[in-house]
Amino acid sequence: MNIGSKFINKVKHLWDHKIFRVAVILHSFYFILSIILFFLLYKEKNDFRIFYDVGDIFLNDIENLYDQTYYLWDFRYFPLSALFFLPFSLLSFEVAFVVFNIFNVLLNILISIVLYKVIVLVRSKDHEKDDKRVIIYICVYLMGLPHILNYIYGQINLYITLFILVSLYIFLKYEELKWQLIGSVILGISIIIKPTALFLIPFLIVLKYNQGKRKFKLDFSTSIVRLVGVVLPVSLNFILFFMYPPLWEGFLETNFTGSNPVALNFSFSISKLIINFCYFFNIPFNQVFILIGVICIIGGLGYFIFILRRNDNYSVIYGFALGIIIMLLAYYDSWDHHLLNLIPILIIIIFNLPRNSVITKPFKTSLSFFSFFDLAFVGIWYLIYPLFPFNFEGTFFLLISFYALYKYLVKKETHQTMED
Amino acid sequence: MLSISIWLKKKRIKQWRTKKLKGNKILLGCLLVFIFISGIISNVYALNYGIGVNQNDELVWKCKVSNNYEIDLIFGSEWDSSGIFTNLSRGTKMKWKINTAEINDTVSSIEYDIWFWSLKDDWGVNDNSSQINFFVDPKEYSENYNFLNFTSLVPFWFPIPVGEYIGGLSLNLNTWYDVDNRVLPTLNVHIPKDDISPGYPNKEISIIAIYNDRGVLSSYKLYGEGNTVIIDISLEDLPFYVIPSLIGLFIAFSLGTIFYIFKKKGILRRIIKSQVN
Repeated sequence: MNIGSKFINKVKHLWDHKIFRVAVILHSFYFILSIILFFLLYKEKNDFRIFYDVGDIFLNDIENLYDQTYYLWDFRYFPLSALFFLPFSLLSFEVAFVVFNIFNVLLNILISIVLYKVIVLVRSKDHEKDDKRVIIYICVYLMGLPHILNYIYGQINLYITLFILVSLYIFLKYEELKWQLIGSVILGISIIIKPTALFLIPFLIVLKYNQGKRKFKLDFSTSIVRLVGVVLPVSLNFILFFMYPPLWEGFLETNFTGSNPVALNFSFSISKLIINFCYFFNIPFNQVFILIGVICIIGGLGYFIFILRRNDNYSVIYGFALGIIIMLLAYYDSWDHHLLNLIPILIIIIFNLPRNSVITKPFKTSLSFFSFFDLAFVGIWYLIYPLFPFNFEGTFFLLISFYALYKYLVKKETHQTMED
Repeated sequence: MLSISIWLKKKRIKQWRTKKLKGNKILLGCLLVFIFISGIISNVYALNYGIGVNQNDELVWKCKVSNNYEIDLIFGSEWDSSGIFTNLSRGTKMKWKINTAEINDTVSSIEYDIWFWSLKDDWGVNDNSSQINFFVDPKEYSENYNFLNFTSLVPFWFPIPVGEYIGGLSLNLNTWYDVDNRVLPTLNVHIPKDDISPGYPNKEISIIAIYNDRGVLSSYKLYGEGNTVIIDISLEDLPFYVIPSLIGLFIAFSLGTIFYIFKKKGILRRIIKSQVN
């Protein structure tokens, strides 16, 4: 039986589940709705416009890749990311958008498959042996409202999610160093496309502080191989920076010198909430200092939690979860569609924890909020921003997940309860 | 008998394959038609800009911050003697009354009476009348365009949809201007010292101007050194839904918190138990 027929048989089997049918219909609706809304409302205000332009500029005028006058909004990513968008730039903008979103649908199918494989790999022993519950959670991912904005804006989060999940699968499935290298190279490629996974890099280092023995333990070879693997693809950009010095200047200027005050938006990151607060109450602020401060505090706390973990099993899952949560809490712009990077990791954690663990509850609550309610609060923000410009609800649930990770990884009582 | 059943089986497989092939072809055809149509729609569809204010509309702005000493240092002592900032000081209000709002093939324009910044509640007779014109198509503007003809360095009104309009304009604006229309239509301005003319401005300044869905300036903040706000102006009228929505959110949030605390402490269970007993 070839892969195609295997896939069709699997879909036929899945079609028997009502929730799967609902998920497919709902997801198709999101896709069609996004295409309609694109043509009616969002054609002139669309993230895909930047990706589309960048491919063209990379091909014809690479030295001006970071000349922001060419773009609707700033292009901030690494120069090699333009290669991914080059094929789309050869089509007309509208056709490219539709084709890009068809790719996004295919990516979601692949993500669901890899997510299933990771869940089966890490599922705690006391979970149900059949796949019914796994299917429900994968359907929750497919039904998630963040997909709507991801499709409408022609965003690239699904590429990142797929790369993160594939690298996670490789890290978990194979212990050999060559596989660790391959896994981290895949993660590095995701950073080229969009630096979301940048905050995951520290969590690739297999470092642990044994609280009983009061000693640090470092798996040197695995850590080095992973770091080399992740840095390798990213460093390819430096060849371009070396060949075209204006690229380097433009990249630095776009990403690190913007200290001017910026206006309000509904990002739920802590940095943005602070910036909104300063803007609203006329408090002088420098957005770069705010960003660095939040990264140091949240990032530092997250890394301490990771190092102080009491359990080494599947620690990379929790490292990835911490990395993505830190990124969402610290970076200026954390939008609803960025949650598509986190939701699959939360689902994996729910299956990795014991079936009836109390720790699962905050993850489940956050998962349902991110999947079905966060978008509503974006709408509410538009209604109330003249008097209350803070979209804090997403932040609240991110902090709940962060605390739950701390509770699971570090707190002694939690581990004793689980062992009992 | 056996050969007939094999023949029938083969025929059924053949029929299934033909059906499958036909299904695939239909699917592929639909996909191509979908892509093709999207190409056609894009050629037909064009954005029409309009005017979001009407004749007799009254617009009132309030000044929350005006650090006149600092502004004197930056723009010279004459900055508030004419133009949109005439008599600006903290607590004052400015009113516009729209007389005409017209749009033709090339230009959209509004004519309005203006009552300059004042602390009085009784507006009396208008102080001046003025007009703002914009090309209907923002791409008509020449390269390196700026808003130096406005004392505020940004207009108080734009055609609508304002996000799309300033987005279209952004490609022609000079390096002082940066359009951010991702969430709220915003014009960010950064002008280095002496960039307009020698001694003007005397220090670097930044401006954040946010527009509402009618194209009217809803918030204007001028920042000086150290990102300190030296002018803060905002439109006085809030949309009708803001306060009820905010109250609704706080009630929902408070009830949610109370319910959570009750549930956590088992108070709900105790209440239900006592009711049952």
